[in-house]
Amino acid sequence: MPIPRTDLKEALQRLRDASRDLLNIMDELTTDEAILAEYGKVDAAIGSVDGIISGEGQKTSFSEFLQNVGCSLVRAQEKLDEESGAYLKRLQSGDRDFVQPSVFRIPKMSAEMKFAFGKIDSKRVGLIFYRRTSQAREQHQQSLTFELATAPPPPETIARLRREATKLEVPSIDLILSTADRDVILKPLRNISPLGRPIDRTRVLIWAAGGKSEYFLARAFVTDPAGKVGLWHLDLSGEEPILKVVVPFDPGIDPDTRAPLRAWVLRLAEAQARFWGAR
Amino acid sequence: MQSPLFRLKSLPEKIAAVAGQVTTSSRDIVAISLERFVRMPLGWPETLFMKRVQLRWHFFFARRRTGMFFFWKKGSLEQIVLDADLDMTVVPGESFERGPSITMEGIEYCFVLPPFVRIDRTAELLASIGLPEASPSNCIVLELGPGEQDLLAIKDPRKGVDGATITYTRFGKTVRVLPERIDRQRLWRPQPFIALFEAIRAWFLGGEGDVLPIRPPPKSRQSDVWKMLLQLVSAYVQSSQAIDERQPPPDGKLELVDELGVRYDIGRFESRIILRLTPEGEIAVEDEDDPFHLRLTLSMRREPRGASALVDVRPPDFLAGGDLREAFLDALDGAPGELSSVLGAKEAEARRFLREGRDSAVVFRVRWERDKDTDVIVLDGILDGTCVVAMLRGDFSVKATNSDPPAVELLSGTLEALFVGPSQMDEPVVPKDVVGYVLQFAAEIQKWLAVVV
Repeated sequence: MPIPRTDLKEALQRLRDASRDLLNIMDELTTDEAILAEYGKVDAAIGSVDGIISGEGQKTSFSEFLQNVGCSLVRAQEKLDEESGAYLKRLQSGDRDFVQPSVFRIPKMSAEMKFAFGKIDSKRVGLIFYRRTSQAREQHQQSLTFELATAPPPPETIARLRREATKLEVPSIDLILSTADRDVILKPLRNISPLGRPIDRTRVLIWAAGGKSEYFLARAFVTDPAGKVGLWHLDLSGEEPILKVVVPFDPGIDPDTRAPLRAWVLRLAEAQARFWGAR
Repeated sequence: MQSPLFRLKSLPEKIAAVAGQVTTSSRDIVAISLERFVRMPLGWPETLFMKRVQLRWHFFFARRRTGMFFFWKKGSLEQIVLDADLDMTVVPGESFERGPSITMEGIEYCFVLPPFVRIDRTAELLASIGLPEASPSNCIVLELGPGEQDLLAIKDPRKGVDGATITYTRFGKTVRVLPERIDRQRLWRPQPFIALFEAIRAWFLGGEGDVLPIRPPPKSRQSDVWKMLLQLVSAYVQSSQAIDERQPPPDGKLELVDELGVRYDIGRFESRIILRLTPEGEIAVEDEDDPFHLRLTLSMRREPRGASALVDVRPPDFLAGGDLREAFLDALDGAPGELSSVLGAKEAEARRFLREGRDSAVVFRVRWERDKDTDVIVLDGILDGTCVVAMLRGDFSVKATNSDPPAVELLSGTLEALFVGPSQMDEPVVPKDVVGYVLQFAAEIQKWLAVVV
């Protein structure tokens, strides 16, 4: 037979109160910490029905709550970012010279909330939010006021942030374009064809291979109908440079298979040359 | 519904757990805002950080046979409870460098004396102010007025109006403060009491007395008050450590999120406990033990080499400022007919007197029964062209509301003027309950000096 919810709540309430009365009586009868601690566990277990009796509201943790607030603020700012972008585009397309371009931002946010504590330990701080006004008045004894603000990071952090952001968002290869760095890398290869000639120095693609002082180098000839293209690994971390061939610079080996690689190297080498030409 | 009881010794770790989460959460929020930085189309370099977090706890201490406990919300089964609150604010530190770690051993304890309490109660002084048989253990000497000339000395204040001996020294002349029987009432002359109220008011408005260094007693001799104080100090120490532990090490390699983060410190840590004490300085168990409350305040301050704990006590029922005092004065302002009648002035003049005297008015509770307070309000100002002091007494209904302060209303027909006249007037007009309040106040301060100092 189903038990009405109100009866169940009353029964739990009586059990809870009886347990607390028993604990009070035991507290008067004995000072034995071990006995009290043992019964304290029983009382705590029975105490777990508190939430059912009171019809407790939403439970969350302190950190989850703040994270949610932070997330909401970031989402709201992102929405504003979009609107700002759309607004700037409308300004550019229309005849509105008299309107100053603006972007919209939320510089800070303050909030105050009341809650009751749930379980607290070093890893998690439980919070309870009550829905019913009467419960809120009775149970909400704690309050939290906080202020979130925005701040520009230091310039060096922004630079690092952008690098990190690029890596996170679009995996890419950073070609080494600094002539000073390239000179250091290519210096030991002066006598090695097809990497050591002056013309090669602007046409060789160089990028970091991951390890310290390790690089990949790629070179293709534009005019060579046989489709020469090579890929090397250069290790400058030791006393002597070590150059290993990854893809031999040999037109006789499977030219059709190597054609896409050749086209890619040529395209980047062209862009690289234009980069220096433009400077 | 009853809240779980926790052993007092577990209070610090619970508060520290919350404090530590502030740093963790702030780091999470920086990380969330970094995601926007990565996604945002327009490239505004901004990240979020937690500028200030203020936590206000309200909890209760309970005294039981097996020790002291605390719990978060008040239930009907616990009778012996002390109201307490804790205000902790976590803010970005002044420097990114981590200061020295705070430990319990590094705490310096100080007691802030009320500015008008004389602790040099020598036999010569006591003899010179008419209390030759008194000793420092059974009397208190209060310094009134701007100089050191006016003294109110009370021997055995806890014996009440019938057992205490009061002397008042003014301009070098000492008199016994005795009641006079008028119309079957015992009434006292007002000058020493008005001077004392003025001194208490000045104290409430920011006056601080000498700061005495104090030392916690050994564990075996710790009173309930010291036990609570030390656990609160421990809560501060553990909270500071929890915040420090969750911050990136100063010499380690910082992750991006740490580079953008902020180093936090505890900016404010102040706890107030409404104390009900027995004459021995223990928590009062029976209601009749104690009709008088004291508010203990513990303020922790970060010092270059550690931290200090400042302990201060004041009577919470004495109001020289704040929202509750304003609520009482508003209630009086809302009854111009009664005010006019007791002041013997026209309504407009009575209201003007109240409004002009509001800033310096004091309110104190001399009796309390559930929702009804009997309060005395002392006002000074110009009434009908004469400088006067008015001491009014009335019953007020005080009902808790969802927000502070409670709703206060003057109960019709209860307002009476105990005294309206020039402050130098020397007619016996002060009734027994006001003198009783002063004696209880003096007894509590004396008790406190014994407990803490």
